[in-house]
Amino acid sequence: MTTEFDDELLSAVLDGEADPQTVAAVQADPDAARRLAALEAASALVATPPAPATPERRAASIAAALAAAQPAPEVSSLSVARERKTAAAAPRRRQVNWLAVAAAFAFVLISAVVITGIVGSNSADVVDTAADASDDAADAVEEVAEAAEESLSADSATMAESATADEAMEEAMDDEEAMEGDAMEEEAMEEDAMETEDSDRETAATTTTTQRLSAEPFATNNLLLLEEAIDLGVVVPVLRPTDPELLSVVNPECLNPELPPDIDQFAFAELGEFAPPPQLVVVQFDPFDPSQVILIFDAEDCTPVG
Amino acid sequence: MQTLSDDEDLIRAAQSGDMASLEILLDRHHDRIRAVCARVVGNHADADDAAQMALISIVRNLERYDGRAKFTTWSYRIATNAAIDELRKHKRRPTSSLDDEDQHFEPVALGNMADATAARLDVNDGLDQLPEEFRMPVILRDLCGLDYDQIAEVLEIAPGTVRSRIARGRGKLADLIGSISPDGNQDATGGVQGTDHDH
Repeated sequence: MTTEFDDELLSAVLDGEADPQTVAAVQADPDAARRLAALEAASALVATPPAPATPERRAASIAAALAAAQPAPEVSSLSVARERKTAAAAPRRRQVNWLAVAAAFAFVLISAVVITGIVGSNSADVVDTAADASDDAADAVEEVAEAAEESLSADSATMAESATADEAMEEAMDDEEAMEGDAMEEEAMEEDAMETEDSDRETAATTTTTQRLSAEPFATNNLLLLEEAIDLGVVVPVLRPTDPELLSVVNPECLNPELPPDIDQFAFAELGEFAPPPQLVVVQFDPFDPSQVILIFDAEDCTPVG
Repeated sequence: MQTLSDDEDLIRAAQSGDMASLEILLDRHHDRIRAVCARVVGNHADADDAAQMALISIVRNLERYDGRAKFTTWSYRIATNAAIDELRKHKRRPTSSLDDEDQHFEPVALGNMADATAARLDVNDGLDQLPEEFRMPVILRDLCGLDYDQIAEVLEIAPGTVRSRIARGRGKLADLIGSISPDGNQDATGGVQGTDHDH
């Protein structure tokens, strides 16, 4: 192509963003006009509306969004949020439970082998190996749980189609009641875990029963659990860039001065609940889409975490 | 008498807890949100999931919407985020044959020769060959009809960057269309290789 006009200029002509002289010059240049036609064809291709959703799927999406508008309890925690998430996906619960049981069984089995190993030998190496194995087991449990959630996400559409918003909420409430007994049992286990200062991830996840949706730091053991808490809506933006509470712990130079001053977009969290002193971190959310995290950084030196 | 006809009225009512207004608002915007999701993720099943997540995100954050940005701009931002999330999630899991069936040909009713060639190119296949940073501005411009400033706001980039990315995205698509032979096959030398039009 021998035209003096590049794609950026021709594209601007296409969008009506070029001045009249440029438009006239492009029209007078056969090569430029040909390229303009090619760009126009590309533009028209993208402008083709995709096939719409089926009426059923469309209705299900809107119903699911309306169900999300129902007010959530003010106090939340990772364990409660996990239960709520499970309850909201009631039709797929059976599969989750089987996988959870299998994961728990695997965890107990591996732990038993590890403990037997420790009892059988007093060497420090064996203890280290056992600790590593324990961590691996915890990782395995989490991976199984994540795999279960992923495999089930495909069923969410079916769930949304089969239940109206009201039915889903009613079911969720019933499930929460049914889980109260389990929750008490879990709390007892959590106390035991704290006494022994066992820092494996699963224990950490179930010891955050008193976190609140406020400017109080969300205390958890590691970044993975913090990210899960964000994903579950336990950690949400509660601070603005001008909040004294934020500025008292964060170097103002770490905050972009162009941030909208009157929108909640930060939250605190403490990482390393069982490994004091905990690291105070700041979760920075997208001010215009608080479901999106932009950055998690150290509150003292502002370095990104993770 | 003022009726609940425009978005601002609906949003205000929905923010006050009026579920009927919220439903109208979601119903009104579902199709365009789903359309942008469909073009970003490239198949219908993921588009439906992304659109649903976008609607849920809109509902959850509606209380924080203060009207400084247009609702459509704000919701496009949420939709593109949801679609990108879905795209990344999808890349982590294997593609089923059903997904392939979803990538069906969507005919384009166009006039001239270049357009006739374009009609042989699957839109999603073409967009799939564009890097994400080019794909998003092109979709927001050509499918959604946003101007450069609005796209800059949605994507949080400078308007000048929007202009150059749209040009490069369209240029690559145009080259791809040019590489399609009259029988609908892509030339061996085709694809979106670098050309004179790349900057």
